Amino acid sequence: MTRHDCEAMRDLLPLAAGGRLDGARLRSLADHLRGCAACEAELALLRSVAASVQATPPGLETRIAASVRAAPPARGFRHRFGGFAPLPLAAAATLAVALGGAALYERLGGGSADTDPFTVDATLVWAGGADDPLVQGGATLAELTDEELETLLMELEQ
Amino acid sequence: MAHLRLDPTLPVEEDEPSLVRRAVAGSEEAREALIRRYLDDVYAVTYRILGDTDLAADAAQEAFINALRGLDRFRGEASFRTWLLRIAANAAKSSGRKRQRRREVAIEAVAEPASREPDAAELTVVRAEAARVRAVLATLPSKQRQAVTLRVDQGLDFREIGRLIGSSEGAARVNYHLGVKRLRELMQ
Repeated sequence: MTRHDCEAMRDLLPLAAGGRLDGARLRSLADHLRGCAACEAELALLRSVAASVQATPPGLETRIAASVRAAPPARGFRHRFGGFAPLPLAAAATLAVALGGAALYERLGGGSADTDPFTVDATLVWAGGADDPLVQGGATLAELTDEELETLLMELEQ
Repeated sequence: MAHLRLDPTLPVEEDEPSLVRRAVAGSEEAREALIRRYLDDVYAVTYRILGDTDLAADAAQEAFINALRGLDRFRGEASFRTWLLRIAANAAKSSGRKRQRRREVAIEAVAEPASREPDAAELTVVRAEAARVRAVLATLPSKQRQAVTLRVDQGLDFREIGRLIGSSEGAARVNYHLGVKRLRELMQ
């Protein structure tokens, strides 16, 4: 059993634990597990996570269906924000300072994310632009590499 | 020419794009089918974030209202399910902020309700184990907990998880692995 085998298989473990693996990938994992106690133990751990999901309360579906039927049509999101999604002011300021980017700051909107469910709730997501940030996933700070973003993330979380 | 049907006794589940199209066109039946199909996933996400059954139910309701009222903004770049889960995560986080709850969910908040009717012994053990896992999960840092549960419960990839928890794909992967490592230590 090589380390490479385990690294490849470990990506499959959460999917297997959640019952989302079948076919060749499931057979491949089963073969691996027969000779790898570490991956077998991790799968057991992840299965305990999967089994800990709280059951949906009875009656919730009916309640939600009724509330959706009763809800008035939504007002246009872009009409309210002129095409720009709001981002918490504090997050915008933190980003601006951390990146030293006055130009970037100009692209960030102000306001409160609490007021709009379609804003991706993230301190490292740029929420400006003409496209819906929810559908787009929020344009990430494309100028930075993943490593730079992770370093920034650690600095912000310290 | 004869019309072939593989098994007429099996119900045919309408695919997601078709349901969404009908919901956008105003079909109440399609909207309710979407609620039925994704309620468990949405509730799992809101519960994992809030750790409280009532708050999670309220956040799930808010997520469906927001999503189904805002269907005209769904353009299909991501799947409807992924889009909906992101709205659910936002609704849960917003609820948590409004109520000024701590980011780490209190262990007491995930315990089984004391008033619950007693179950058979085996079921009780299973539920106790599930409650223990939830309690341990609640002690993980928020992003680690979310990365682990979104990967296991929802099968999301790290790019999607990153979008939900507000990090890069790489940071989501790191949070997942740190979360699993920490969970392993705490469960021993």
